[in-house]
Amino acid sequence: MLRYVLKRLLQVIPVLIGVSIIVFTILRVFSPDPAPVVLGQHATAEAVTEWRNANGLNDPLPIQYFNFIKGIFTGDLGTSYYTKKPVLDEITSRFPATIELAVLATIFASIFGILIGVVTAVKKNSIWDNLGMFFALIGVSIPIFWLGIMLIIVFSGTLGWLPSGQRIDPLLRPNKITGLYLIDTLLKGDLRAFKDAALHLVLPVCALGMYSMAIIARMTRSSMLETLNQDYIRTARAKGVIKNRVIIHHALRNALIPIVTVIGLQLGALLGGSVLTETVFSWPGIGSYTVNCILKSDFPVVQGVVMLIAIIFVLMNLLVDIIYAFLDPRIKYSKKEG
Amino acid sequence: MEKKDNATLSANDIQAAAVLEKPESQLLEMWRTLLENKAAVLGLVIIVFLIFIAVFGRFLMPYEPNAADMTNTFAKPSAEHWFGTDQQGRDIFSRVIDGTKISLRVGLSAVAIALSVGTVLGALAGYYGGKIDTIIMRIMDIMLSIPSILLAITFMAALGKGIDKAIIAIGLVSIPEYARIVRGSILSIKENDYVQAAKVIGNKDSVIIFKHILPNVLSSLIVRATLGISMAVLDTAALGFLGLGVQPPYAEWGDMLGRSRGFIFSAPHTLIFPGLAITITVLAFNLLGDGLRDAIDPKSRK
Amino acid sequence: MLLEVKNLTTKFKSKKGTTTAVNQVSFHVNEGEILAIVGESGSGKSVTSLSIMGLTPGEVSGEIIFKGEDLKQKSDKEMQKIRGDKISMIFQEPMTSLNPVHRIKDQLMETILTHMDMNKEEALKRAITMLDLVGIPSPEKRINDYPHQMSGGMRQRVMIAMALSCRPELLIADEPTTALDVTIQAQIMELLYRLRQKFNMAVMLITHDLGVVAESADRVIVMYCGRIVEEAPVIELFETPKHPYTRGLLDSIPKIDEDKDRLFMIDGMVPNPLHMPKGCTFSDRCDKCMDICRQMMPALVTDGNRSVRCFLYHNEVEVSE
Repeated sequence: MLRYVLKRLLQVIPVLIGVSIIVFTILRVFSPDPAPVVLGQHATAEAVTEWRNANGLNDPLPIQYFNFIKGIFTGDLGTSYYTKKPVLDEITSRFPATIELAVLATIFASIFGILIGVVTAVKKNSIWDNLGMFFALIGVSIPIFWLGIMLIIVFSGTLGWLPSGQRIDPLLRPNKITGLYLIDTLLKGDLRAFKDAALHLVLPVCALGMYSMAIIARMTRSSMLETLNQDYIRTARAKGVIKNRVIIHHALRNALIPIVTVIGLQLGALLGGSVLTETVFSWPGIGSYTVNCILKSDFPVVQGVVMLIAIIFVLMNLLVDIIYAFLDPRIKYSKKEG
Repeated sequence: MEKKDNATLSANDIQAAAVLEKPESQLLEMWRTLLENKAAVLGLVIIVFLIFIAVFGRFLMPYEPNAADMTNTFAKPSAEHWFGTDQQGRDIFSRVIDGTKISLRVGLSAVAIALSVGTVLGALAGYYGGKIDTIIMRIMDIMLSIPSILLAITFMAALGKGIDKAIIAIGLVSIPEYARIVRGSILSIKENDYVQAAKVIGNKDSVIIFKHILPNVLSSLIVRATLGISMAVLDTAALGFLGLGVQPPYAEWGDMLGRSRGFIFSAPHTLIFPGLAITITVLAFNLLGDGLRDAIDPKSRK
Repeated sequence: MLLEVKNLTTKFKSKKGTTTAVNQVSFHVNEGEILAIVGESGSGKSVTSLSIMGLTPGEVSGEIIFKGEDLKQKSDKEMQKIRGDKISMIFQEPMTSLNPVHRIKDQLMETILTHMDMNKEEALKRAITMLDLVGIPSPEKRINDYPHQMSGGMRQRVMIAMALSCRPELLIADEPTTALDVTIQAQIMELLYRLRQKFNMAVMLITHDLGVVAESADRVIVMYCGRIVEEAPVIELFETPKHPYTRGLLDSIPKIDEDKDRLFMIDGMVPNPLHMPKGCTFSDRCDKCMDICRQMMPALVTDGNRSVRCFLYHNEVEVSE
């Protein structure tokens, strides 16, 4: 097992090198010169040259790429063209907000997605099946940013139940420990702040998680329909096992194997979706920040963010493969496997 | 499937190879099954309706979609302006109609790019295997390890804004899905008896790919492409919303949402209709795509 | 009488029409006996057994009287208590009938814990005893295996251990040896026979293999297209088969002492259940077919300990519902 994990970790390296080449090529080779954007249209030619020299943009491309790669290993991802702060600091200060949102959205999507999928499969062709699948269809069809806007209009605007922007009331903001407000407020024992942070999370989590929830619900339903037809389900019923146990212990337990893959893939979609959700909810995470940086040609930041997300995504896929081994005893990570 | 030697191919297999040269019957069967599916037919009807609006939209618009009227901004929906007016007093109904054209154009063109490039890459990888396979699929894996919307906005940063660039960016990011489908199907079909039979008969590689393998991949590609259009429409709107996509003077649904976002509490009507249009369009292609998938794979219908 | 089935009819509804998989079937099983139900696939023999267990999605009518109580009147919960306890079942596909993600231990103990008042330790002990009983070597080790670590024969033994772990009074064995190698087949049948005597349970043996029947059964029911066509004690059936279908089945068993160039086969195929022939369902494959056979369905007429549904022996016509 350990051997397999190490081997997979080694396989991750060429993928990440590939990602770095693609990102570098897009942003450094094909992108227009950021200097006029950063310095303004009326910057003098000397100012531009000086600025380009200072940021290493006049170096030969291989040198630039080498510095970029070196930076990934040393943690020096360059400095933002605007704030002049190290990119790593810019990212890490905003990252907990995104993680808190994405993780909660994954949990939300998994719980409700699996629940809907199981109910619709068990009650196939009933009104519950039709309702559940219609809901899931809406879920995959509605743009998350528009869903976010509609949720804000209804629950913040019209009903006034929930806050719609930022992570917490500024007066209640906890001191940074983990950067995850739900945890930080609890560690401080400030329940009022915890509640406020939780309320701020409700709408963004729903908006961000809806699409993944719908995908997971559909996957769960079809996977459950398949396992419910298997011989071992008949065996379990012939043994006199009660219905709910047949559904969960026998059918869902087998159906989970493909569902876990989908959940793993959804984390990537969620990190991508955070770009949109964070923009809608003025959420101070890396998603909305990246959009701003692209609009302002702040490329070092964009490079750093894309690399970071790719690393998370690739590691998540590895994690999914490991979880597989626990879910399906037939899978063995032998030496032979490629 | 059990692996057979070429030598043990039966007459049936060779006959099957001959029969499978007619993929039309398979598509026809798919079409018939599709028409029995109410949800899919609804999707199809909506799509036909959308295409009608896209083509004849200019005759349906009560106002010039880009005509500003600063004396009548943020008008609520009324008999005069069915969907109200926006921050520049433009008629939202006319703009939503105008946007249909853009969304369908970007969606269809992006899928066309992804489909053609993806199919060629997937076919090369799957059929020849070996190094070609490794190189192509590695690149696809690398692209898939960046969330597609993030990759698309990065492309937009390089390409600049605009309608053609949005098409390219959205098309590029969805290439891997098609390549994977085609490669996967080819790998599974390649070992099939009738393809082996075609080899025994002595067909050339290109003949085998186009006559025997692609027709069989076709149905899964049609399904994927239909669902792909809905993804492309969503991505177009997302780019527009972030201010990175199609630019004015084109009325694009996502762009309309992005520009009206600041008026979320004061003029929510400016945000309802463009989003509804996106949802309905995406829903229609999803309905059709799901229906097509069920039609080719009777298992999922059960 | 342990089990009495009266007028059992099971129908499946689909878009294309209603199929009657089991049609007015009546029979009984005595305590401790082995009753064989023989027929080709599609004859309704498996659906009959699933209907008794209450495990078919089809529409079941008629009476299923087990120890004086009609199982058809029982609620789902009451049936759950009976299944696996008083009546249990083993299936044709040992490869897929065990849940691949759970250990043998958990699957065996699940049955025991469902029906018996035992704690986990006692259940584990009993599970090991059962594995030993069905002839699995070093059961205390193999009980930790997953199904994929066992051969088909082993898995069928596990299925048997599971089915017998609560000492059922009736075991329904649905083609228990069909998917296995010939040598393993004999071992499994031998095991079933031995355990039947040890536990004094009745067995309903569903099979298409008359060879298996000859060796083990007390009585035989032959089914064709959802109906019983002949019923007889096993020796009489083999010595004087009456129904042309039964004769056909017997003739198609290869015999070592006969020097035949080719095996006898019954002509034709089982008819499509949506398009049954008019009259006797066997008429279009029967070598003794008469005019009346194409018009009417003969009734199942009992004479002593034998019953047959054929106009060669009587003139009674089946009264349809």
